[in-house]
Amino acid sequence: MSKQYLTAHTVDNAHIANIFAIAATKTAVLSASGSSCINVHATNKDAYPLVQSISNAHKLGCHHLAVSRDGRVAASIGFAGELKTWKISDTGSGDWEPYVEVANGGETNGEAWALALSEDGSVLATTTHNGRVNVWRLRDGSSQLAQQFEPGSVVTSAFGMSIDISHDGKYTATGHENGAVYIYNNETGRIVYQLPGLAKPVRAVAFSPAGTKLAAAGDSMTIELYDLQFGEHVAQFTGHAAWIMSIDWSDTGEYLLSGAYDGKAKVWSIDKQACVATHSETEQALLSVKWLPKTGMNEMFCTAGANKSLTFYREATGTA
Amino acid sequence: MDLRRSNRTSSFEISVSGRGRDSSLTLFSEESQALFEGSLGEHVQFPKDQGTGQNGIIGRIEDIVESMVDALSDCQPLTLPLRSRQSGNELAVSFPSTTASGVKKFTALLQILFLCRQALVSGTIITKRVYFRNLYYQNPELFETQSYVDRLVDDIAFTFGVGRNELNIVAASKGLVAGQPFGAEHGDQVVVVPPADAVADLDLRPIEWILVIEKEATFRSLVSLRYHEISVAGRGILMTAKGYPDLASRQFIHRIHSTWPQTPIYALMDFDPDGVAILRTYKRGSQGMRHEERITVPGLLWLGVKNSDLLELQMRLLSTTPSVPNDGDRESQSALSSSQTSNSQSSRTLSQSSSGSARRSQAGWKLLSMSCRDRAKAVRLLRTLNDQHHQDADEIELTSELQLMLMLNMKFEIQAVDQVENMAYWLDERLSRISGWI
Repeated sequence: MSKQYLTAHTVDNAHIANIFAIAATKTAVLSASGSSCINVHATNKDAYPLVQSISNAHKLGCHHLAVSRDGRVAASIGFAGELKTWKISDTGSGDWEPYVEVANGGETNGEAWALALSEDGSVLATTTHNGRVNVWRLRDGSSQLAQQFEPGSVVTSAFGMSIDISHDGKYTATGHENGAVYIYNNETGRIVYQLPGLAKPVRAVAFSPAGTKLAAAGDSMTIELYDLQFGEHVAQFTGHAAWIMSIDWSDTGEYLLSGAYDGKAKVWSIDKQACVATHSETEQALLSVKWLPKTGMNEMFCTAGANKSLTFYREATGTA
Repeated sequence: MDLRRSNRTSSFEISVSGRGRDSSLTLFSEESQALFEGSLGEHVQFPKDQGTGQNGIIGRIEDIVESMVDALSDCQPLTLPLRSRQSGNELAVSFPSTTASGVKKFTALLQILFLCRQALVSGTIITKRVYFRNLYYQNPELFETQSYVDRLVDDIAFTFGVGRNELNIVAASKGLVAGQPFGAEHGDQVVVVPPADAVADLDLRPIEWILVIEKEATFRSLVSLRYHEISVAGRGILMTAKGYPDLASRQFIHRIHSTWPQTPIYALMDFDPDGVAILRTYKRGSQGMRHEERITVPGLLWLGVKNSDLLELQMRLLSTTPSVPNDGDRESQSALSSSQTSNSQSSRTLSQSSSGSARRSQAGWKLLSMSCRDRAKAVRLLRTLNDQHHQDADEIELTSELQLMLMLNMKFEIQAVDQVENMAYWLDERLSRISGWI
């Protein structure tokens, strides 16, 4: 049993440099690259036109970008270490504009690396170089450091490479360079689970939409699936032949999308615990893959990376 | 006029016998003077350059001494003008000084100026090492390290706005070179990088390529393979400056490139911020040496190791690793076929290696994670590249590689190539690919 996805469209050279991160709203895909701008391509229009380019967003380029599930708040981190937040303009233009300032860096906070936003964009969580998690509360006009999580004595200072916030906002998961995966309770700031790690850098962690599972992937080239009721390892997906750089759950939680450094994107069925589709438009590294929030009949996803392009896939009607 | 000064850390004599252009300055006692002249004898005498440039420098050194003599007679502090190589601002080094390090610096500068003048007047070229030895024997406490003296020499050159060579001070190169034009008749394959002037006498016509290697270890292992003779790309020259290149190595490679511009020069560097910085030092020069001319090779081609090599090496490693049964793997068919092609490609390298050694090589092939220093250095380099008004294709590539390095948080060394497969094979493939033979 496999699924068929067709290339719906490719925006060639969406950026002049490697695209490091993409984030999807119901109407657009935001992309960040080694160049200084963040681009916004409309997904509700033919040919996915560029509708906004935030110039000079990050002078030295941008490595992480996230958008809240409601599509109103975005956050990005640049190579110079600067953390910026963005919101949809109140003017109704639909454009993104600068939101609140977030004080990043320094001895106490550490330099932010990966980031995640809660469903309504009121909570921003970042990993740091020294393995910590900073949780910020964003309100109109200000940001406030609400929590700082530390793995404690178990493993300190392992680079936090990936992060996600559960849809209900209760939990934060982080993946670390040494293979460790932690789940924190956002209320108490305590570690809920220290999951059996992958032994190699964990480049992506993602909560399932219902919040019952966590997927983690990275240089082990496998995707590990954990049940969050008891923190058990429940499945391992093998098949990628290179580091997995990015994973994303479909809206329904039925499928996982993964993108690897060899340019291959895969779709995995959670039920069947198997790869149901493999796509490679490019041999260049995929650095970010995302499902588009479901608006029509068909599922769609977008991939981006070292070929500087955005590739959109659409599920072929009628599964084989 | 006679003057004797002493303090806790240093003591020296200045005796001035006259005024004007003919004034002589004695800084050292007679036996140390003899020591200095003795050591000069070890070095080749070059034809005396009567050019205005050198006379100009002699004049400037004497002007400085003159102004100090004036200051002495007016009972004013002695000052040496010195320009900072970082800021370009002039800062005077004075005696007496409030700090011991200030006194040390003044004394050292004065002695260096003295040696410079001596060398220029006699038309002798001396190496930095001899320089240092002279100063060191004078006063071991004052001149602890060669780098301290080197820095001051570069400061003086920068202040005068000339290259270090024009002070008649040359660095004995730490660079090494191997190839047919160098000492082939001695049987000893590796020689110290010769002075740039010697390049004119070399015949590089049979040479197809030149490879500049960051690490000495890699250089040595390629020399021991006689890669410069057996490469599929033809006869070549191997060179290393053991890390960041010294002035002499840069002058040498610049001269080769300007004399034989049609011979491609490739760079083999680590995939880490230092590798990128070293590459840029060869290509564009360094901030601290911007007063030096004719030391860059803008046409240097970056052969590797790059982020794309990372993937290739990883794939090759996977294909030589005994496969682990994968239950859910629907792609095993394609994985198998790719491993077969890959094996046949690398048959030359892996012909003698069993699966056991492949396993060993995997264990040995460690990607290193970037340290805080690496990351900071990468960001600094990104900033420098970003400040360039117009980025050329090379700089865009460097920016992209540095960003990927940070993104992956990984670096790896050239030796990693040798642990995955034979370095010679890898180079053959690279050089062929570049010259379009494959």
